[in-house]
Amino acid sequence: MSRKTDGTVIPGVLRTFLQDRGTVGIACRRSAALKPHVHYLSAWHVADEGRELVCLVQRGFTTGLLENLRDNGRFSATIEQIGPHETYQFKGTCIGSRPAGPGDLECWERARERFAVAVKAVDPRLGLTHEQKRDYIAPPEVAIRMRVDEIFLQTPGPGAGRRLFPAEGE
Amino acid sequence: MLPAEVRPVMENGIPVILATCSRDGVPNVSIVSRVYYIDADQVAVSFQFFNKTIRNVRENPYATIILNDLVKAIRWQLEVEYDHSETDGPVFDEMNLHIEALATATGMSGIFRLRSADIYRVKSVVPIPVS
Repeated sequence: MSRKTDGTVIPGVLRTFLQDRGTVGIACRRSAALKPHVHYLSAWHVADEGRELVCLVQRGFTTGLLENLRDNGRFSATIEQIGPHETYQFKGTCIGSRPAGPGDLECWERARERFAVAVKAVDPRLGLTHEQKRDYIAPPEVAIRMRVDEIFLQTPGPGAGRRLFPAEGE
Repeated sequence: MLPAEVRPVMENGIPVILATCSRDGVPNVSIVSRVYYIDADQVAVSFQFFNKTIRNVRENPYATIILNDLVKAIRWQLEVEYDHSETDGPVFDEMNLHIEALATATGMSGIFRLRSADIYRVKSVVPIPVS
């Protein structure tokens, strides 16, 4: 699958967030009937000097994904830092996909470690072992290459939903 | 429709995923603090700030909700359709009380104002084990 689109470059401050602080990621595509479908992410990383967000979709969450992306390409991903709830949504277009590879597994290992540490910090009473928390983030099955068109702030509060890039009014 | 084992998952304090789609086909995925159980066929979501979600379901009612059960390592996927909004009554009052308590505890009283309780009809429920 391959599509061409313009898009925006993910700014450095958000690249740092994605690489170091984001602890949970969820993506969404839609069907021809405009029904939204959720795809949990194992991990994510920025590629092509900030022009692409690569979303690693968890095993068990790929049903119907590639068919809909071939049809309409619309894809959105929301990444949150558990604890402070800092959250951003990236909306754009799928420009390609591939099976997850060994490099993606390293990215997944780092992401699920961040997840386990963050969950322990916010709720030490859950009674789960560190390994059980890590295991909640399943390994990646498919990598979706996404050209980002818009980035929105989703941190809960009055500013939630504000478009950051391109800035509102542009 | 909603099995009994789903209700405690709604009340476990773990944030919930809510996906919607605009009329012109742009998917949107948000993280919300909680989904409220009404009965076996209906759930409610608070309308405070999530303007895109609110706008989307009013022009295209389809939505998907994911509930997380970390202890049993299961995610519950609910396909739902927005039905109507309530600005008073028992569902609104319970939601308002919960949100006000949460806001007070985090020093944000008055900011997290509940505008309405959005009621969704549950169309399907699927458990997805984390594998």
